[in-house]
Amino acid sequence: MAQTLSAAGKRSHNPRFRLDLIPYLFILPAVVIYVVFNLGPVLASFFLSFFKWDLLAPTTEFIGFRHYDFILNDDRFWNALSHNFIFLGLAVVIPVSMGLILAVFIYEIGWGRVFFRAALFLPAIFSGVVIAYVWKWIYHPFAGVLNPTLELIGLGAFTQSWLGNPKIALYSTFIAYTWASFGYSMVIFLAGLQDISTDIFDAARVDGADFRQKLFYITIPCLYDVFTFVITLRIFTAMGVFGVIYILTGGGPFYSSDVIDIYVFRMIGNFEMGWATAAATVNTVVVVFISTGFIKWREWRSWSS
Amino acid sequence: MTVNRNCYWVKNLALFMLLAFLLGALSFGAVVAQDATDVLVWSLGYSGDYNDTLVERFNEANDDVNIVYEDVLTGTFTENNQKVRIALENEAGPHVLGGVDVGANLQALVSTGQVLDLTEYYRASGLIDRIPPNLLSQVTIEGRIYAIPQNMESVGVFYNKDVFAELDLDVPTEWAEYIEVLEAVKDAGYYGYTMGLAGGWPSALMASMFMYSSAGSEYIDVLSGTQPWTDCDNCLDGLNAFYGMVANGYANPEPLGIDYDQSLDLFYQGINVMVLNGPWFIDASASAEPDFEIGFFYLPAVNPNTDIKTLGGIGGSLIVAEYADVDAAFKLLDWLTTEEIAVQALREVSVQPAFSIDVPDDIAPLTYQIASETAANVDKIGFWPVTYLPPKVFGDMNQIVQGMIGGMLTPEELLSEMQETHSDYLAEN
Repeated sequence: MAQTLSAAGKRSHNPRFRLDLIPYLFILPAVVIYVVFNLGPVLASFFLSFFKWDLLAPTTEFIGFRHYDFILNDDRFWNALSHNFIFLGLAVVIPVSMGLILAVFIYEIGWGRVFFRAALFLPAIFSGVVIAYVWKWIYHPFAGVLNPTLELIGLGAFTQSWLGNPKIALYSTFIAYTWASFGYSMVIFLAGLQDISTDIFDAARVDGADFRQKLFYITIPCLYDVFTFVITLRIFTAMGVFGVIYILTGGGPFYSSDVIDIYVFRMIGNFEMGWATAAATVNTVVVVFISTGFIKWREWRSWSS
Repeated sequence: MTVNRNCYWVKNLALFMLLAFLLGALSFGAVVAQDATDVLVWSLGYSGDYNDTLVERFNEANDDVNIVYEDVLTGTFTENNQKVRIALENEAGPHVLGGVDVGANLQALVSTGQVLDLTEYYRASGLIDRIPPNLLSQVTIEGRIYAIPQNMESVGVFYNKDVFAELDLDVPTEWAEYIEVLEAVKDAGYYGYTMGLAGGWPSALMASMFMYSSAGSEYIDVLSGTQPWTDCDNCLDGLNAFYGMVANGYANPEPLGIDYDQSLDLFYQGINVMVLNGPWFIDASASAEPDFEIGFFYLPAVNPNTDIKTLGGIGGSLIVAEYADVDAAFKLLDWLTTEEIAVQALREVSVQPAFSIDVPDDIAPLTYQIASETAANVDKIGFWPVTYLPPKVFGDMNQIVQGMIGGMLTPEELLSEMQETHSDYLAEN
């Protein structure tokens, strides 16, 4: 025991131990910024959700779980959350699939690679607000381009009030979201594809593998970790979607495209800070649960296989 | 050599005198500046240019009070309300502020002691005799007055005079005549009623317009929570009339597919013939430069026996922060509430003042007509629903009205949905 203590005492004089602190010093500014601007507000929001406070009153009243009780019994909260889940289900399939298909397309073609990469990534560099306004005019029932285009190509039966029909308003906003987001998935997949050794493809070609076999037996399995990252990213953006829906429909008509962030924003706008922070906390828990569960599942599958 | 030395001496003396003069001037300026009391202002309640003009004119005319103007209220109403609340709470906001929403917003500021009680100021300045009692009631909380209404808004129908002339239509004064006009306009291939409700706004206001014009002050009881929504049969009649605008093809198609601004474009383009709007529309429509003349009339009442003629209210009010220098703030209020400033507001920004003034007849005809009609009907104006409804319930009402227009709710179901939403909120608070 005495020897152990003595050894521990000597560790602080070990130059290697002192050197190990340096990386922590380097990341300290980032950690401080993260704690102050990210973690701090999340914790403050969680803390505030137990108090009755309307943003103005200098005093707050501790009311325990009453806000959670109201939120969890509010049909409109569950309606909004269910729309987030629909968005999530679509977001992990459509923009991800589009990103993969386009990444493989760009990877495979011998010419125009730079052009297509830039052109297809272009929507992703625009602000969500700009994209929403562009789509607002695309969907415009009188001046928009979508309905006339459908009529022009013989699909007049599909013309719609894209944002005014409560049955499809959510899906219309999803199309705008997809347009803004598939580019990110595409460039991440493209980077992943470029990491796969060409030797594997060469060997497959020698063995007579066709395009389909290369895609399903080499490309997709080799992009396993990239898929995990891209889908996790989609989980975060789909559960936190706000700008596109807020500008296109404001969550309407009659809450048909409402999502949690708009629900929270509406509460904040009405100075209902307790309800807003309670709803935001529930959403955070759901997002953490889904994303952590997904990552753990992927790790388990990777390990078990 | 001697000459040169004298030159240097003269130069040095001149330089010394110049420095002394500058120092003296700076000291004098500092003394003068110290005498003037700064009044921080974020808005005087008018559009940007007129705010600037007012600040400039006041500072030129007053040595002892100096307005320091900060243009920070650049967001939406909600964002601006949040900024004001937080700033006042921390005593870091304006000393005098114009354009403040009354209703729940003013109540919240008063409940936490952020704004000054102006009751004595009203009496001392004589303002109490110049503001109509029904406006005064909107800024009075528990018997004390906390704000000065700056302008009066009344909503009515702006119409395309050229189309009315083309179709040989007269301005309707009764509901049946209004329906005849709508039918005639529809038969001629136009849309009579402009409706753009995507995003929610202004669904609740439009529905309220019709409920006021049918239920009158009974609707105020409903909004105040003293009468259940579901017991208001007159409100139901108003809602049916509103829904009839869509169901009978009087309104433009796809009212939920376009927003408010996009719907106004239909009016400017001559596709829609009438638009329900407030006096601010005079300036907005002038900027859009339509190639037709615009007229105005009040929406005929759905129920001829209603005691409320139209929807409207106070567009904005002046408040004084609790921490402001009272003498300086009151000097500014004295100046802002003069008839001269009120008339100038009418001329420059088409704002109908809330103070009793003689409407000048040398202003634009449309402005004159609306100002005169507003002044003549000031006691028959039903206030904005958000004056009575909590903001959350008002926000929900925007969505619920969308539900009726989209065919997801019947007018009866709308009233039930509103009753549930309103009573849930009141129970929780």
